[in-house]
Amino acid sequence: MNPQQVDTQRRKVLSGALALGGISTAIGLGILAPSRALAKWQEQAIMTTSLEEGLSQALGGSSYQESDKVQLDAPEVAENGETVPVSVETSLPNVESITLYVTENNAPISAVFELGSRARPSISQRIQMADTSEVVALVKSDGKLYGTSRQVQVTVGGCGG
Amino acid sequence: MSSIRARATLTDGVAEVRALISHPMDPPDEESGDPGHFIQEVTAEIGGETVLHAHWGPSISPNPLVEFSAEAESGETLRISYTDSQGGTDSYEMELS
Repeated sequence: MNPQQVDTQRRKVLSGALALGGISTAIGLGILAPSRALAKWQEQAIMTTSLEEGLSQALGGSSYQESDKVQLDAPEVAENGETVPVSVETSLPNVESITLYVTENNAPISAVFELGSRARPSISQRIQMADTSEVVALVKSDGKLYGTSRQVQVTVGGCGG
Repeated sequence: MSSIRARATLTDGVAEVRALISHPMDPPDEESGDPGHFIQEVTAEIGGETVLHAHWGPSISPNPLVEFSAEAESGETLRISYTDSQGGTDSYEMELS
């Protein structure tokens, strides 16, 4: 197929998808924002008890480079593990996603945030922690994983983790 | 009334958004077989363009609060929506100014 045919094909598929049910369908099919959108809820990453498996599912790998360009704010001591405020910000370029995980939680991956091209790479979220644990923020920038971690001491654990 | 409440401040072409969702975020319980009831996906769009697609699990705190920021212009619509593990869904729209 020459490039023009591919383009025509793509347009047809796109208009069909839009007719079927709007933008979310198009994103679900991976047509819009092709390299960014994960198709649907990352159940296998979010619900697994295996951190390595979860990170592989969501991010294509679990090893990351420590980077001081990833800033993670979390309290040193959290009285209530049910609601621990965590903020991640980075100066790294072309950020595709930000992932938060808690190594001691039963299901370690708390959240995966995919960012569109207009988003600033900055996220705050309240998470639950079952116990004192390391909290890790991973940033996918230019296809590579960078991260940083903080130890958070939990006085009374939340049950959701 | 929507279960989503959002506040946005637009400064120098960047919207800082703070969204609060009223939701129990009940985790599943393997022992009793209770499947739980928790938000799985949250999407934020500005001017029809997805700026954030969050994958959540039961370890997000009840009544979740999420803050993010994105390039935006005055007059654009911010739309936030979610789907939960029982098929529940809700959305909220506001015009940025």
